[in-house]
Amino acid sequence: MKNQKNINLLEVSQLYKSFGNKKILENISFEMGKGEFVLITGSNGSGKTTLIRIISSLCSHDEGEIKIFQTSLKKEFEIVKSKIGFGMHNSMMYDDFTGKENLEYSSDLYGITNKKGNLKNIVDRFELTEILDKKIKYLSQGQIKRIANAKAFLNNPKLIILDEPDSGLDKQSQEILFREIIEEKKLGTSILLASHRLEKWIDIADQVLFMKNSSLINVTKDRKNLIF
Amino acid sequence: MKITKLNFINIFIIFTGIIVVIDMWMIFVWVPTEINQGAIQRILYLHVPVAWGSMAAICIVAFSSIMYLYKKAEKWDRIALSAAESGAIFGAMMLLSGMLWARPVWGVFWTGEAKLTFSLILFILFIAYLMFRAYFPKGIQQKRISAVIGIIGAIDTPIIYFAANLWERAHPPLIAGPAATSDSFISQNIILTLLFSVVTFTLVLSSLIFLRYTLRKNEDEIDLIIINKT
Amino acid sequence: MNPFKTIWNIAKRDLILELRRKEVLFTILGFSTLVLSIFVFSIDVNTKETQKIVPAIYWSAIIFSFTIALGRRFSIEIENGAFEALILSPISKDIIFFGKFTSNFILVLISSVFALPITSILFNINILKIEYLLLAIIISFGLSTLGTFFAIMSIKVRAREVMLSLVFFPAVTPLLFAGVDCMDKIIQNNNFSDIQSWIFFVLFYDAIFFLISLLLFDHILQE
Repeated sequence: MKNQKNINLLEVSQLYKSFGNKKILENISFEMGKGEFVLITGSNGSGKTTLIRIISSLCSHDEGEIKIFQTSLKKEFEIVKSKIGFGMHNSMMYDDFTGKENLEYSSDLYGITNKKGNLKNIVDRFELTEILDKKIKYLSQGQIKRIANAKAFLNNPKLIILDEPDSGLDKQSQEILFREIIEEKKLGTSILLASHRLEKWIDIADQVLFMKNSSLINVTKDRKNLIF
Repeated sequence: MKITKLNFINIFIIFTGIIVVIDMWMIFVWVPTEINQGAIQRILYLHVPVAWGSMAAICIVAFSSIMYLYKKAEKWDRIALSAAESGAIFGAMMLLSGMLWARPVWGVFWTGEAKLTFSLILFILFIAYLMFRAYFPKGIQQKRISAVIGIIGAIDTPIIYFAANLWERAHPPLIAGPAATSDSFISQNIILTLLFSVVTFTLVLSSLIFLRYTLRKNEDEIDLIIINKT
Repeated sequence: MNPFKTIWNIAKRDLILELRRKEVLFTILGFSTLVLSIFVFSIDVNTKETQKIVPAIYWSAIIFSFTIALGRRFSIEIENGAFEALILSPISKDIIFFGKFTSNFILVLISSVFALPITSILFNINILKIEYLLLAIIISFGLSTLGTFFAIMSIKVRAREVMLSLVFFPAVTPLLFAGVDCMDKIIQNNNFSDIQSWIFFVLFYDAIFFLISLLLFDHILQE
């Protein structure tokens, strides 16, 4: 993979964030190359979700700089956004729409030209056919997560940002997600994934960011070097 | 902040205090009683300046809000907050003094008159600004949204005033007291006292904003210390 | 991407969603009817004096029901973070505002048009005229501009619905004045010149707040 890493797709330098009196992130810096799979891990409340939200521009930061696709986060983010697939902590879908309608809405927002074919492709890849026509409010947490994960792949992104995509998923769905992420990685898509389930993802990760108490305590590319 | 320290703000506040005493002497001792309304008219020496003050305050809120959105400097947010709080106090005083004056002169506490409607809405806007600020989670977004409310409120006020005027022309007030007949004798002393009061309360407003500003700055510094400790 | 198509896509989805949930639809239709009928119970309908306050009752009902509907509408946006999906999608902030504005505009227009015959029946006056429709359109425009803006602004605030009314009501009082006075004059069969200044005022108000909302919209979205 190393020969592909000629430009940095995502650069985070000296990021600080606090909510009120509480420090959430402290001096976070890392780089992510093209085609890399970066795993952010750490216990609950270590700041993983906030970091993901800041990178996605949903949340502001106090200090530091973020560059995605070589541009600053705030400027021209609209153009950059079309190249990113987001799967956040919550489902980001309407309860009263079916899974299909939610995915169609997203396709419209992303301006996807071959809407039907693209949708069918995604549905097949994630094996969602049987839950697709039910309203989101009648689905279980795991089923919602499966559709939400598929939504992140909908716009054929160059970078996929996923926050806890495996929470609430059963064994089989986890396998599907795992398979699709490896598939995307083979195509050269970069993936930034936050999860506290280390064992699952660590084998395919190019880089592991281990977070504890709002700071990165370990950035490594080798499993043996991980300090807990 | 030690009181013995003679910095600019302390000198300014002491100066304001002296001016307020002189103003009170002018209002209650020096100026002769107005013929038509009697002693009640003395309320106006308070009412007009605080009304002016609350309008000045919303302008300051708007200006510093625009500056905050433009420059993103904490300073402007603090000024906006201080001006809004002072403006809310001035607004409340304006409403109260106005009602106390209107009851004996117009025979009612409240009418649908344009200026009254306008000042009530102005007061509600100040309250809305402060409530929104208080109920919003702390952070940059809180300050930014407060600034947005400040700007919209300030743009809205002249429009509301204009609308209230149009509205009033359509619905002339039923009660017209002696104040409306405009034959009251306005002496030079009355005008002088009124002008002096306006100057005085402008100074009071500025001192309040100055004081609140330093307080806010200290609050922020304490927050910073707490963040660094945890 | 065609911006108009995207705006319509957002608005269409909102309207389908409201049709399905029925909660907001009931609020804008049922609640305004309820407010109107409470006034019918509490005042004597057939006197000349009462006829004069019908416009005030009508517009209060519209504004109350619209405020409640706004609160409900935007609570589903944040329930699962669906609004965040909009922010994350590659469309400009203005388009999001236009889309949400369009759906709100249609909703408040439905409610103000629907309340016209109800008011006519309950208060025994004929207000089914084309002038009212035009009046409802220009006032609904202003209401939905500020309504959309403030509703999105108050997504994160505690006691959201109270806070929304607190900023929304004072800001739209000019529209309330205009609506009540114009309606009153139309009931009395005055000619156009009497309400001309109000009409221009409302158009001015609509334009200025639409521009301001667009200018400031970016600032309320960033967290």
